[in-house]
Amino acid sequence: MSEPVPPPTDDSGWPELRDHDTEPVSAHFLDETLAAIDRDEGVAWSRLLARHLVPAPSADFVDRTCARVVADSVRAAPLGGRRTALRRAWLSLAAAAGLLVAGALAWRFTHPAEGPGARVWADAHPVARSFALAARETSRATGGDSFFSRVRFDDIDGLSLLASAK
Amino acid sequence: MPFQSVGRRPRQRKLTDLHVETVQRAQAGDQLACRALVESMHRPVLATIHRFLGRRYAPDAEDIAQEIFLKVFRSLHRFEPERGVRFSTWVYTFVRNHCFDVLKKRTVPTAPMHAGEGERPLDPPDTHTARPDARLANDELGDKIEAALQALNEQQRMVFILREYEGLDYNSIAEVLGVSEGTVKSRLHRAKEAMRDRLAPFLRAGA
Repeated sequence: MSEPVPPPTDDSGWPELRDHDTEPVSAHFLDETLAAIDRDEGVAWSRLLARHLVPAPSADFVDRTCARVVADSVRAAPLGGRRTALRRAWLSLAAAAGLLVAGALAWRFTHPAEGPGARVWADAHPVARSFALAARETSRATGGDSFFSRVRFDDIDGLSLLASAK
Repeated sequence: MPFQSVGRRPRQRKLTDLHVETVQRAQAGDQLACRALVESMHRPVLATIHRFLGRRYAPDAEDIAQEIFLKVFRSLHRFEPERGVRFSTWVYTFVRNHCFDVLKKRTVPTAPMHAGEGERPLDPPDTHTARPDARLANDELGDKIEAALQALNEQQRMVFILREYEGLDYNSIAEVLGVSEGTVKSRLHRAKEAMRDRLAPFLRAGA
């Protein structure tokens, strides 16, 4: 397949639109072009397509486009700042939440529960034990159904006091 | 103390060199460089839009081109000249994506069937064809080419436009379309065949 003819360039090196090639269409031109296309010559397509004109850009197209680009960048700048600030806020919140969760998990694993509602008081003070026993006896004697009537003392003589609410 | 030249105006050079420097300045926020990019790309972008989308979209072509430029400048910081991609190729990628999106939406704008009053003249004014019959023949041929081009499927049409109108090489077209060079060649071959078949009766009949 033959290579197409490179488009002509203007002073800045950019291809000009090839619509300037406005040789009048004649039977000879068409014959020649078709023959060249049949031979798959790139130049034939260039000559033919030069007749396919497109509307010229508005005279102020570049100005209007640049103005829109500037306006868009101005609008985008504070928006970008807000987006950054929001992102930072979310990151801070996420970090704080992560720390809380990590702390809670650490506490949970270093303080294992011994059953539902179980409480262990090691080295309970004798006064406290006496008070708890007296409260339970009083509650039972009066037939009440208070918390103290449901307290179970497993090791009354020991130093640990296990109370569990049923 | 003598005045010193602060910014050196880059020499106008060929495509690639011009844009590497200009794009880097534009990336740094130089508005003159941004303008230079628009100035150098607006004609190819508009022409590609016109040719790809056809006359139905002619009234909206400039709006479409502006939207493409907005996208280009929003993404300008992501363009990396050192990767060896030409700026023009990169811009054509936006043109291609946006044009395909426009066709997907299929919101065909209302356009006059024929060029009405107030419509801008074609570019450039045809000063060479003084004879009205010759001009008419040119216009008619242009219409035939337009019809043949619009009859191609979208992929073939874009390949044909980028190659035959815009003069991109196969590698650049492959980058724009995200396909292999082999696919580009195959699509171009089929597009040329279809164009030739559609235009041949007209060409054989003569003007």
